[in-house]
Amino acid sequence: MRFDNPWMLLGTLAAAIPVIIHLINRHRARVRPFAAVEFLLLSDKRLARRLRVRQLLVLALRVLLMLAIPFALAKPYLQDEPAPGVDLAEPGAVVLIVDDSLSMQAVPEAGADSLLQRAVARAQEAVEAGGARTSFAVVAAGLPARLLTPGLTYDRTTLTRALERVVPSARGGDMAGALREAERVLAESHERRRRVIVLSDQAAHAWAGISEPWALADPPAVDLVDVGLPDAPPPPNASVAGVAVRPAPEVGPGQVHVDVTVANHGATERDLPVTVDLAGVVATSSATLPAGRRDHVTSVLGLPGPASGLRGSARLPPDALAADDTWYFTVDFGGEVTVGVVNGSPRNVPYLDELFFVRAALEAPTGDVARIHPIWLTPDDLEPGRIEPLDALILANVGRLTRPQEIAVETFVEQGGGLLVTAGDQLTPESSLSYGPLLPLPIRATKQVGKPGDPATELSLLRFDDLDSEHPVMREFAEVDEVSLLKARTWSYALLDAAQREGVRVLASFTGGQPALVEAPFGRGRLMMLTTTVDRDGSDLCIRSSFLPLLHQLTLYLAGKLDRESGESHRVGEPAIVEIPPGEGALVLERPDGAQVAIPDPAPETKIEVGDIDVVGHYALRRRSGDAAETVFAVNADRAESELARADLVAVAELLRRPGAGVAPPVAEAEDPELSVDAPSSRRTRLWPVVLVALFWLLASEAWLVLRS
Amino acid sequence: MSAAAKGRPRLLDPRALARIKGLALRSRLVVDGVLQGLHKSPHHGSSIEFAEHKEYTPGDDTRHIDWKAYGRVDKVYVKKFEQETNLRAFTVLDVSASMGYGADGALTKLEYASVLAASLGFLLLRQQDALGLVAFAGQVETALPARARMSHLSHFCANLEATQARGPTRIDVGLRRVVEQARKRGVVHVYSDFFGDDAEAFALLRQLVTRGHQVTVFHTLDGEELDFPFEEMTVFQGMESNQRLLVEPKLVRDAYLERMTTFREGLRRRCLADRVQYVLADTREPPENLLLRYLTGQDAARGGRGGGR
Repeated sequence: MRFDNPWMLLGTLAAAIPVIIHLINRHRARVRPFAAVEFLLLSDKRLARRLRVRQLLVLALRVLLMLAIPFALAKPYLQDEPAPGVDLAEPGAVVLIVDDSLSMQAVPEAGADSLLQRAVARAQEAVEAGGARTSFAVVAAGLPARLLTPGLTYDRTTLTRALERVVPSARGGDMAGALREAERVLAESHERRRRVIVLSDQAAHAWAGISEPWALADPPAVDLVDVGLPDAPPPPNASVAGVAVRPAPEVGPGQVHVDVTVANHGATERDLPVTVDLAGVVATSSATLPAGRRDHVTSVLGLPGPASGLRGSARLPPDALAADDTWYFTVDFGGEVTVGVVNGSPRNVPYLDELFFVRAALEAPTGDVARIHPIWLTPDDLEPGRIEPLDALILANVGRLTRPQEIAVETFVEQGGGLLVTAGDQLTPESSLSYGPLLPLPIRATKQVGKPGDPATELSLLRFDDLDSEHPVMREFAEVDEVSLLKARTWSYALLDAAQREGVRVLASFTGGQPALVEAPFGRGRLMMLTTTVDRDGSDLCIRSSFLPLLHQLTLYLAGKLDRESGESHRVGEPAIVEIPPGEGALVLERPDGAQVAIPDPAPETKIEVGDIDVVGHYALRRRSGDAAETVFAVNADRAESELARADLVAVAELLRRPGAGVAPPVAEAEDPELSVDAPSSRRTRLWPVVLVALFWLLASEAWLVLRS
Repeated sequence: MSAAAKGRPRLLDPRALARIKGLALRSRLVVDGVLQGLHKSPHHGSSIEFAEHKEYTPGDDTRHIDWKAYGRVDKVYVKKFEQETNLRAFTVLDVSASMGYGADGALTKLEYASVLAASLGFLLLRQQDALGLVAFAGQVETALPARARMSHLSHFCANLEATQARGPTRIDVGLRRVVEQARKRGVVHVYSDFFGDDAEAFALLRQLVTRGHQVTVFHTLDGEELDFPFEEMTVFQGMESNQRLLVEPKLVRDAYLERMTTFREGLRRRCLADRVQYVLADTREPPENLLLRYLTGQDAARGGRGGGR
């Protein structure tokens, strides 16, 4: 029971007044000696009892009167579960919105039906209670909102089948979409009496962010049915809210950090044991979380193989909402990085060649998370078709780019590729013009500060200094004592213009402050420039032991494999854009439940939008030809569903009264003019008229009893 | 023209009478009214039969000198009458605690009964009857033998005034004393509210009637006892017991009045059955009015005023 003027209930304190007056009268009653007191002793006990009962009755009536007056003024009404069917027998159009989002899988009591089962049962009751002239439609409110019936229908069999299709899902909530869908369906109806019944757990997240529920100016009446236990607190729930995986080179090759975010949505502190399973490698840790808090639990695991397409999961023990206790993730640091290397200063003598040391470094096997596959190119190869499949591009001492080459490279970088430009005798200030925006900073001049082997200039030679240890490329050198990178000597370098460019980051500088390694973002890709050479013409960096890891790190970084935390996932109900595995032929999507869905090859596209994602788990996209290459991605439920606290239904009802700006389509004349009155947005049974009638009868009874006395 | 000028008796309001101190004065005022009323009354009372002559002695009423006999025998004789010599009147007065009840500012039942008794006593003594008194409660409190002297009246009144209402009501105790003393036929006036066990009392009353006594019961009740006019919630406390009763008067009035009527009617019927005259003495009624009704026989003719209520 609710009240329009609840503060009026303070007036019920006045119910004490008759009792107080009665007690005061007892105290103030005059003592009178009376000779005929025997006649008052009322030896007739029946009469005495009757009188006493009448006295108590009068007192009770007066108390009830004093209670009824403020009670009536408080304007009580019932806004309970609408008991579907009470007024559904009247002709009209009804849309049943059944919330099939993840949170509806919660079980309010041990052994009880889930909220979704209760909602479906209530919807079925409503359908059965509907009159012959009541049409229904069923809309599922899980993301995305779906109309499960072919519009409004009078066919009960169709409705029953639609309700049977409402099954537990890991979808997020799309109440806004469901309301719009219901409004659209009802707008097609010619009935004046149009109603929406929302069967949901009425969780706060379901209504969050909805500010304009209706598009049309004539919103339908809405019944909010809470299928949970309205008077009980939300059941205790904890969830895994996310997983992030990043390489842990400081721990060892092939090691990764797995950060698991866990959240306690309950009202009490909980100990939460977390089990991480990464391709069969299991680690267990735990966290103690206060109510309403979230925290990270980190485990270090060794990768069981190449970090490509590894499947993992983080689990909590099952609770009231078991569906959010597991988070699926993948670990994919690239597998293979294809890097094109363009030689701008080829020589016939191998050790004098610009790429002599680069070739050796890139072709050397390493324990990196991704394997580097170099492709050796000439400037003439800088064509869109050649460089598009690459992950990264290194222009080593390439002095000039033609305009088509510049456009091709620009396009490549804009679409996510990485470009490293290394300096040399070919790269002059004039080169900046042909490179356009592809240089992080324009070249002001080329500098020669000495000669290798010349003792007179030994002190003038530059060394690497001031490494940005926070940068993913430099992170590997941060914890190494006397790193050889800092011992490399440089005698020739390109002096960059100090002009500001947004996002420029200097990873390393020479002694004296001149930039040695610079990075700038460009489109979806990244630009880097090494201001000295990768052969021995300008520096002895290439013969330092740091050269190989530096070049590997630069390549992986340019390919976007180094700074990306793995473990990302997609949400149920939303399309996923994933990379197409290499090869040719039709594609097959393998769902977590083992089902396989054929997908046409969208060649020459490299990525594809995968829809029909309605369950959580690992999905694999591969070629039907049997090629081993596959793209694995994880899908999880929206963790907003984990928060089971209820919404303020009064505020929601107020929100649903708010009309939209659109014009409602014309509606046929109603047979019953009473139905043209705006219906309340939720079922209200006003009690105060009944109370007023009761008040009148109480008053009459009291007066009759007093007069009869 | 006033009522007195018209010859009708000026009735004394009992509340006004209550403001007059002294029973003798009160009764004298009442008697004046009664005598005035009797003079105008067509009923002159019972005739008195001549019995014998008595030689005159100083103190005898000169009005009764038989001058004819004086002329024949030259001696002064006075006439003696039958009743004058035989009538003995006993006043039996209930002085129990319940008789002490009276509405605010009015005479208590005891005071009212005393006024009636003193007034009747004056009238009796005035016609040479002997007047006795038995005041009782749980026992006989005061007993005066019957005397015919007018000076006896002051003694009578003094005893009544000195009597206080207290103790339980035992009517049989008072009547038994009268039965013992009143050997000859006479008049017995009983003043009581009869709030007590009266089974034995009626046996004694019958006995007195059988002996030839003219017995009259003055059922003395206060107006509040008759009408129960109370409105506010009241704790009623018994005057002859410790019983206390919190009552909403409006709720019990009907039941009370019904029981009171039944009680009075029952008493009246028993009196009639035993040839006892019943007079309801409502303390709100002017005493001379009540006495006139009694003396002129109106009450007897109607079977008692209370019967009509």
